Amino acid sequence: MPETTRSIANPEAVRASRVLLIEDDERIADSVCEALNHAGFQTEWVNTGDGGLEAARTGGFDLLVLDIVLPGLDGFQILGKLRESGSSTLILMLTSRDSLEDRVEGFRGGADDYLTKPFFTEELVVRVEALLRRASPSDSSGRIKNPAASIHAGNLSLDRLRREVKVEGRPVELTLREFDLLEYLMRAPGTVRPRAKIIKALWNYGMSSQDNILDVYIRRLRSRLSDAGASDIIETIRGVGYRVIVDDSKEG
Amino acid sequence: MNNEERKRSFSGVVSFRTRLIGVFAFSITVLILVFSGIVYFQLNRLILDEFDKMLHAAAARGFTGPPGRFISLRHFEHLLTSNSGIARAGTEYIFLARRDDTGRLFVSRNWPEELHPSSFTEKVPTDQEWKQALKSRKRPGVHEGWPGRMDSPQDRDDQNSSSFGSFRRGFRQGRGLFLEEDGLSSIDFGLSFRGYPERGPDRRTENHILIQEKKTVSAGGEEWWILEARSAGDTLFVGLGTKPLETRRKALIQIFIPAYLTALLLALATSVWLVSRALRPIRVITREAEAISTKGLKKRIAGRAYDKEFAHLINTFNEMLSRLEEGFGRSERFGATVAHQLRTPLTVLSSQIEREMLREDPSSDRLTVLAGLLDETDKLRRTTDQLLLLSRAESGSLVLLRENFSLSRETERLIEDLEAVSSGLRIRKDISPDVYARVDPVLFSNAVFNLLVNAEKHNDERREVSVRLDQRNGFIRLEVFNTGPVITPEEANRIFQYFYQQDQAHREQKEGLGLGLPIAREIVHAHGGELELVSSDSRGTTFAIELPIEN
Repeated sequence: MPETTRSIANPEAVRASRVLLIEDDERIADSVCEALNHAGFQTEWVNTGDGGLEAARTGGFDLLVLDIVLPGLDGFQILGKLRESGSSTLILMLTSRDSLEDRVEGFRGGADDYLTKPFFTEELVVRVEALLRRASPSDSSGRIKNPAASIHAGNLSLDRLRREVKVEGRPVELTLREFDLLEYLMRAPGTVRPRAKIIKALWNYGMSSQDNILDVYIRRLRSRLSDAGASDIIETIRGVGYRVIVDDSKEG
Repeated sequence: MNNEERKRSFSGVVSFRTRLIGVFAFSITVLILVFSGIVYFQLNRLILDEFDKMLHAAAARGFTGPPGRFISLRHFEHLLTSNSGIARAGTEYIFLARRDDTGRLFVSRNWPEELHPSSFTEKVPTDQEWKQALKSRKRPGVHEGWPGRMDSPQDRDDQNSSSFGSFRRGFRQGRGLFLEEDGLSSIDFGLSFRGYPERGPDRRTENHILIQEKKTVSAGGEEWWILEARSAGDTLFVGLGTKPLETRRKALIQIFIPAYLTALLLALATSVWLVSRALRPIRVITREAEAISTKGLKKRIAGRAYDKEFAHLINTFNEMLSRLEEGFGRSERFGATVAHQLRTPLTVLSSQIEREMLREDPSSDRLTVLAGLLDETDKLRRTTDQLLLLSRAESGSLVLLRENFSLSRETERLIEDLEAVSSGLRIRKDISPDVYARVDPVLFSNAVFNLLVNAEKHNDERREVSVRLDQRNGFIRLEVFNTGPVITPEEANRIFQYFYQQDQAHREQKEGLGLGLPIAREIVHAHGGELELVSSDSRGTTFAIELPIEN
């Protein structure tokens, strides 16, 4: 299999973190690269194990996104070799439950995080960001946009660390799930969150969980917020999902 | 066979064990009845024979002594009581009457009053007749068939009294009756007999005794046997009351009935024991077969030193299991393979849809289409995950991706979810804060949620669920209680078997496949914990997850 290395330059993020994706499926790689670049990373892609190891050793990447099933060396071998040689590059493994078998614990010792296939590219981006952020907490030079502990939308403010929601400064009592849902929606105010993503992010355990669970919580959340004086902050995009409306007239 | 028949679980009307015991007990009872009948009949015959022998023996002994006349009653009595006499017949209820050749009838003291000689012998001559006959006779004792009889001297004048009665009276009083003939005085005669050896040889052997007949006579409300024997001119009547016979027969029955009942009880007990013993292999095989769930298909029924039929059954069953295991193994592998094969396409699909959505203008109509696609893709992913989980759980090879996880918070969240998807449920919770464990978040949440869903699904009109989470003695314990139907001990094992549903109603009402509890248990086991049914009674049912706290 011919080795292909593609460098996707992102003019807006010259100083962005460099991410290496080792993945043998071109279609997945395309989307993942695009998503990562869109998020401001400088991403390179290698489609073989051996090429990946080589690139990882010499490329000076900040983070590796490593698939397990690869032509040549597999993901576990690459991980092992990198860690043996003392590399401390952040590594995010793309795994699947069925390919892990007994190697789970071993792999967990070496990798910094993992994501099970199939995944949403958005999740991958969030994980990458989180890993890089964790690795350099002091580095707030703007390489990675640090998600604020406090998010604002209209007269609503949400404190992630304290798990507090306030409407015009007055605290609103929310249950755990209601907070989770609001927090998820407010991670990117103004952006439409498709139902599928919300469900996967919040109810991943329920393999056959009822679809209407999201509607129930949206209804509850809306009622709580409107009771507190923040009505119509969650907008339904029919057939797509929900989003939190950003009121530009108010200060964020 | 249609689907309905396949689903139905059969319950026999009568237990085979009961039936076998019945057959056994019945056979044994019949055997005992027949046997005891035969034994009773034989014993009865033996008794009859014995009495008969006694009669004959008495007849033989009754003739002991010289033929001809008795000198006196004393003589007769002496004969009766001497060693050679009737006393040796060993019975007190044999009585004798002897008529000598003069026609006189001597009757033993124990002769029953109600049995008059006329009831068993020819006309007894009156005293008058006898005296007449005696006078006209040349030589008494030679004359055969003498119709007369003797009488006691005291009663000679008593013409009207019953000759027999008076005679008896005399006998009883021990008065001697003797012959006055040929000038022989009683003393002479008596003297002449004094030297007669008591144990002397009997001139008559049994061969000379002619048994005439045995009569059964009814008198005084009782039956009597009278044996008439003759020898050298003497006639001997041996009488026997059948009362002792009846008594012995009754005694026999009295022995027989308790013995029979005891034997019957013993037979019943023995048949219960034997049948239980004989059926033990069936019980063992059933129990072992029950223990072999779809998960434990690797197990086989252990062959033991059973009878051939059972060995054959076990072999057949084990062969069936092998085929089943092969089939299940194939489907497990199939499930895992399908999940594995779907993984990449699903990732491709969702990532490309995501990319398209990113590129699309937020107000575009195409966004709806793409979101719909994403939804479907995610549903497909969930189905795949479920398929993989099921096949992994069934084969006991779950893969855990452990993380440090707040069980307290997750439990709260799951309870909230349960509230959101169910209606009218009253949930009480007692959740200790800050219970953490290294678990696979997705799988563990799945197990807990399955338990909660189960509590909701198998609830009754009380609609109560309570959840408790705490941490003590090195264990994290999560208890889920619900009001609802009682889970019987028989069901208790089965509810953890795959595809088991508590009852038909639930099977039809709810969409569940009976996978929740088995999968939950498998997940908990994979975490090194235990999920069990704690209790189930009219108040409700409690399940508990126990997880050892890792250091």
